[in-house]
Amino acid sequence: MTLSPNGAGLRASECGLVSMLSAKQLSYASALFIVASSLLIKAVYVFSLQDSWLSVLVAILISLLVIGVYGMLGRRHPGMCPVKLSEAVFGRVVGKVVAAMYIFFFLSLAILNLEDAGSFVTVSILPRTPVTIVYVMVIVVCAMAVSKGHKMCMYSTMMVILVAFIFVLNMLLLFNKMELENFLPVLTQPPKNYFLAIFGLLMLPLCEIFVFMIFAPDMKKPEIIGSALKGGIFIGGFLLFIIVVRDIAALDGYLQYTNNPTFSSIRLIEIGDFLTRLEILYASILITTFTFKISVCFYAAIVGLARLFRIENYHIFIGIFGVLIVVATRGVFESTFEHNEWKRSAPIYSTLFLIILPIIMLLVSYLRFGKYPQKRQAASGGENAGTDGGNDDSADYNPNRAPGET
Amino acid sequence: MLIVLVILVFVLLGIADFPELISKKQWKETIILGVFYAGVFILAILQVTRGEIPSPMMAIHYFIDKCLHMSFPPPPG
Repeated sequence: MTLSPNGAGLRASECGLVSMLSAKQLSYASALFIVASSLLIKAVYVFSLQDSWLSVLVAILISLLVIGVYGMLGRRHPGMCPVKLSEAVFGRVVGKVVAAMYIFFFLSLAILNLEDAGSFVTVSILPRTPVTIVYVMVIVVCAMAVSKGHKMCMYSTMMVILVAFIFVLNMLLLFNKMELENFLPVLTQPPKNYFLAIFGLLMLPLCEIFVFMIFAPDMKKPEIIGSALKGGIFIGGFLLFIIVVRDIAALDGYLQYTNNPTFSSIRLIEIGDFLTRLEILYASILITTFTFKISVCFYAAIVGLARLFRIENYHIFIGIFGVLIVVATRGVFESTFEHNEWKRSAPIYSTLFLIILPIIMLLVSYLRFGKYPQKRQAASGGENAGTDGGNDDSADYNPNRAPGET
Repeated sequence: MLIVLVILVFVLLGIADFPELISKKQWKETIILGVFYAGVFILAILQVTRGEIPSPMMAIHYFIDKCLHMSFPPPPG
């Protein structure tokens, strides 16, 4: 049977039975993914204070360069997810090791984000609820979303519009609490602080959308995945910029002392006696976006695993991996201290998967397959017609399938 | 009590997953899934009985912080 990069027999686009993702849908989905991380940008405020808006702008610009690398990989190997891409570029053995590392990375993202969501809910909204209950409820919703496959991304457009509307509304309602002087003085921090703030932003919310490469086989035009992700960076980055500007203008020095600046700034909204306690609106948005983010990482981990083992039906992993994520989330950090310690290493950990490995993949792809891997494939296909050639990865290279697929 | 709950969850999940795979004679899938079930079951039981499980994230943090010396500095102030 012909296996495809998405492990579902024929490529979904070829059989035409499954509705495929458009570039626009992927852009909005990745923007929603970025917005979900608005809870995790506290480090930016800590390092660059009132200049955080500047850090966000610079991080968006640099992230476009990094996304350019993903785009080049997507153009050279259209329709390949990180798992198949690793196998195609590095060969069977090394490729499988790299693919397994990516699966672990996606799983760790799901675990860490679930931990963050649980902490947020138990600290800010439901302090008496056991955190495990929150984990289980979130993961059950995520499992339902994951069972729908890539369709979970199709409804994110509406969600992004709703989120943007609520953010703008919050900003308008906070207008009487905002001070333009809070942005002054400009550029007073040491350069190292700006570097740390920009690097942290780049690795945690922005370049994490690399996870969406897992949807490459499910796209109508997989070769334009880079443009779709760039669109996501523009939309998500703009929303992040709005959040940061609002927080700086409303909170000023308090930014450094609060654990959740965005939540604290929305708590300030008070129009008369009736329009207060709007933070619950933000909390609902945040939990929804977090659930989406965890679902995407959960999906990436189990679909990646299914593709690694060439299993057609990834659904068999949903239940057991749901339990694994809950168990691992409960045990990942024993205390808040450990969690804060991890936050110091998280950007470096992500750098390996989001910058170093993609760049190495691109370089190796150029070295092995030249400038036009698809022409090379056509040529080698002609030469190898009627021969076995199964063991030479470079000779029977096909950008739409990993070595070993028949 | 928690151990009973863990066993119950695994039995229910197993009933949902395995019979279909076995009836379709998908042995590779059955073995791979069985290995994951065993691993996760051990982790869950360890967590329920000992209250903690080894955290790979803290091991990674230790490597980045103590071996590579590349982790972010503590927040200023």
